[in-house]
Amino acid sequence: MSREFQWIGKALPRVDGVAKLTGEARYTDDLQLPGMLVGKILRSPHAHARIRSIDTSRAEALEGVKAVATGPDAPVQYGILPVAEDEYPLAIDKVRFVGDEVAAVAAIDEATAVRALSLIDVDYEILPPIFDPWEALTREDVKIHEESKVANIERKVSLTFGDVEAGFAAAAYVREDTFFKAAASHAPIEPHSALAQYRDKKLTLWTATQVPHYVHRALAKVLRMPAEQIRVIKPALGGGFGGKGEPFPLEFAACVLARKSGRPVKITYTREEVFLTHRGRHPMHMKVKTGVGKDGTITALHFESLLDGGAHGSYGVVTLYYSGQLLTAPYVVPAYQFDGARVYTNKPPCGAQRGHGGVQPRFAFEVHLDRIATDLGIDPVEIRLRNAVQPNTRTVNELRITSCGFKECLERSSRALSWTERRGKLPRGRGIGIAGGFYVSGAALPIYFNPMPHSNVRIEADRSGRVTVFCGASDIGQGSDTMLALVAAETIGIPPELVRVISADTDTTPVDLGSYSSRVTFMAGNACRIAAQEVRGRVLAAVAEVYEVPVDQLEIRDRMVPVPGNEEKPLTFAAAVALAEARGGPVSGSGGYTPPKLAGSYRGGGVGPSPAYSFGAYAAEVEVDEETGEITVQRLAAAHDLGLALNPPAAEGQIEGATVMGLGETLWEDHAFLDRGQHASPSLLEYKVPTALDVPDIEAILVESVDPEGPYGAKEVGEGSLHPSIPAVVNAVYDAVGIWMHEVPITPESVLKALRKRGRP
Amino acid sequence: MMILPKFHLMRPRSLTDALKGLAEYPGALPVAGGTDLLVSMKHGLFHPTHLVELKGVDELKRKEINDNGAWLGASLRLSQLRDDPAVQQRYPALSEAAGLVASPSLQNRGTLGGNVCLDTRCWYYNQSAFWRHSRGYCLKREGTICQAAPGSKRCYATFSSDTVPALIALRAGLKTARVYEGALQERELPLEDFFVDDGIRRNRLSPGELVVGVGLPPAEDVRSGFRKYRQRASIDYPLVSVAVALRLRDGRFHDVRVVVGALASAPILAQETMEVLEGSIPSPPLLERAAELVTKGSKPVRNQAASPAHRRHMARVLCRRLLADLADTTAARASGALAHVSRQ
Repeated sequence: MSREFQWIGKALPRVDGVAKLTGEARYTDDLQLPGMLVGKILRSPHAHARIRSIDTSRAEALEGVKAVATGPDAPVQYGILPVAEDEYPLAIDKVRFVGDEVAAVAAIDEATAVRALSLIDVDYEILPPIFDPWEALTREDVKIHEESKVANIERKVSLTFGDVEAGFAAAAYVREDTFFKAAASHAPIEPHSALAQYRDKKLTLWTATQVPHYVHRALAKVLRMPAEQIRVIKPALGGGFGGKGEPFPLEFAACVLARKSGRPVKITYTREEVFLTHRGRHPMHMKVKTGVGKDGTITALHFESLLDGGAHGSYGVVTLYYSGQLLTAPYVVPAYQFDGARVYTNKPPCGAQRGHGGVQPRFAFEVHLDRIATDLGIDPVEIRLRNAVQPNTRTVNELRITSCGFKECLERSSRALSWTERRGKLPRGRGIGIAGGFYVSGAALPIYFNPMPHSNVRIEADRSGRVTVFCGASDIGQGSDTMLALVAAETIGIPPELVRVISADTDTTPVDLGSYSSRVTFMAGNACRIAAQEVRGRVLAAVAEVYEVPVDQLEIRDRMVPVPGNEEKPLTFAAAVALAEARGGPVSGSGGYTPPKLAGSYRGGGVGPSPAYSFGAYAAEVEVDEETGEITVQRLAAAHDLGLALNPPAAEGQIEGATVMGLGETLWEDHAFLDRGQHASPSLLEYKVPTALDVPDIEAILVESVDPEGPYGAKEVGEGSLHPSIPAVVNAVYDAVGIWMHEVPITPESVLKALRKRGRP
Repeated sequence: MMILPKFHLMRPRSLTDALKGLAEYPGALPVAGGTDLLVSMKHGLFHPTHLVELKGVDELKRKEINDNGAWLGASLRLSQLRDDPAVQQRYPALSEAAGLVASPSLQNRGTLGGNVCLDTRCWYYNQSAFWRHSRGYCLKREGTICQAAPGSKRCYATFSSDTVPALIALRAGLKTARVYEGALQERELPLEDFFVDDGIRRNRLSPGELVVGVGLPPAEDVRSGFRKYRQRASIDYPLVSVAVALRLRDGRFHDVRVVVGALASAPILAQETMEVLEGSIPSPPLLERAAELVTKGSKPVRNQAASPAHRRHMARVLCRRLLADLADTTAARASGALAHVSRQ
């Protein structure tokens, strides 16, 4: 960019900030329609059972009940991935986890709906459940999905790049470690909620979703309705983190019940139902083997993962591929082998959660790398710098690396904690550690194959000077509406407060694939920039024509369009738009973003490629109480290469939020189940998300490598920023008390156990 | 969201009317802050026909603290106990305990009486109706076996109040009242005698009987403190807690009271620890030995996230650290002031 930014890089308040702070923002559950009914879902009390029959007659007879639905009302399978369409809105034939959806009712109030659920008689034939992924890997006599060819394996992957055998043979040192990362759940503050209205053969669904477009497609398919008769609207949304990233039973159930009853139906999940819906972080068993030269240079890597997928496919095939594909950076790996499997178990399905697929392997690899460095007497920062991936290179699995500020991340985060002066030199019980990471800025390939743009934006300006951005992107609290306003304002040359954003409504906004894979700033931002350039161009062309000045001498600045030679009669932006409108009708622009062709040349090469990657390195300082086993994280210096900070406070907020989420997974959060499949902690009291008092000082360090393809140079910041947070803490614990923790969350008991083990001769 | 079952709300303006209401309807329960009861009602654990709201009963809000002791009415908010300078100065264990209950917003609602009568808690009990139906019901509600200890004939649900161990350490007396066959009955008893080590029965409250308040003896020269172990620095119920009150006279411990919470279905007065400390000169080996005895006889079962062994270990650590703090004048002050922000 030749010209200096007017708005980018400065602090812009969120466009929805005041409404959310004052309580004025309307979330899905706040919406009321005349005659609205309350919907409730009946769930399976069994982890694995065949449904012999369902009798809903007593529920239907209850006064106040307006509709009852069961599986056969929508007997069409769906799933977020076309390769794993293995779900029904309501169970048909089988239930696969405690909490699986069996039937739904709509009644005049919640108490009646709850009572009606108790009047539905389901005859179950109990089947043996499988909870352990190792058992699922081999057990043939029990099939959670009949379609599984071998045992209960959903997918197995083996990928090899380069000469792995030669790489290990050339290594001066080879180390192998195993790791386990427990499941975690998103725990957004807003529960899932959906409100459906069916009128004049048209269906409208207001729903708390990250992916209105995919919900739109799934509704058309499952409800067997033309897509053009369905409208999906996402109201204000209170957090997703991946947990609202696919179509859910309550959305279909609300629609089916609305269609059956002829009245609007709203279903809002209880907190327990949110946990049972899950789709969170996969529990992952991992084995890492790395060969290095004497100086710590990586010569070969072999990674194995076993993913405990729960009852359905969800995003799991992508999670599985990501778990392997995202280990070939931020360190140069010349030869790489990945073997992984995802299995079904009788637990709520796992899916995508912030940092999707890469979080568990990143924890494993970064701790493993520190162990290698320790074995070889190399400083942990040094071994990372030696292996650091360079800009404008390709990884062994063909990922195209363009902008890359990884080294700067390492240098700035370690310096923030005075690494050289303090590592290995703090009093016993205190320590510092470091870890790296990287992540995609959106996937280069769409979830369902199609040649269309991944993100589309339409912008309109009118004679009042008002500019409106229309985009299908879902603001889920991450601030994408604010980002769109900012990019449009900067590009056109007007203050952001002149820009209105209308988003995530399939009737009025062009398609954006949704808020997942850290894709919105990069893709919708680029689409928005293109659309805004067109608007700007049309306005300036009209001014140039009227005033007979060359268009390249014109600019839009501070709501004005200064015209050379016409300084005494300043032209406002609104008047300039009016000139354009007078010449060619409504002043609009549109833009679409399609990623470059980046897919790898091998089967599975579609997962991992991205138009740009973020990089990060976090340094953590901890204190370990050797008597109680408690770990206190005191400081985290979180350096993240986000290309360019469009709105620095928003970027810092993402880094802080992701770090806190990572901290929760490091020390507390364990999405576990009891021996008969009941959720061990289905409440925000028992599922231990960190409280404000548990959060350390976090210093967000914004590293700007200015990406050549990102909007104004920006890349992702919301997910990759979780990756280094877990291993940085684990590595700091080693510095503090000399123990390596290979399983997270790290409980005080596991610390004491490790300390006892270390103490033994 | 989970729905609250239907009930009649009674809003008496006097203690007599409140007691009459409780006496008249056998299905009635008192409610003050509601932070425990309302959640349990949503879980289907209680189905009261009537709730007697105590907010309008001024007699229960009385607070009097002077050189002769203290009277603390049952309806005092936990945040009032936390913030009261006289409580902080004379009965720091109570102020610390109140400040460690759940979170500040819940301390603004929860009351002393409610915390004294807090229901015992268990993994298999504090769950939704759906969850308990799925898992199987337990001894404490609707079931015939203990899900935490299947061979057991008794319920092991955990005593979880934070203020009670502090109050017992401070030698609190409890006053209750009820209307029985038309007549007002009042009784007073040492607080430790109020509790029963049975997760179901949990205390000696009779039907219709209400906790009116708590009396405390003079606090002259008494040093006291409370420590709580929980996973997070806020919100969580105790995995274990320890309260200590004592005097330090002529370089020796006197009038020692040590109470352990959350290791059984009732608070435990750690007699052997108290005996070892009484009359002794503080020293690291003494504190170590005393702390070792604090879990003697307690046999918690695995009915929450941390293992019984670890909870017992933490009781010993907290006990020793608290005793060390109280034996050291300057440290005792500092730890009291920092209690709200420290994890334990």
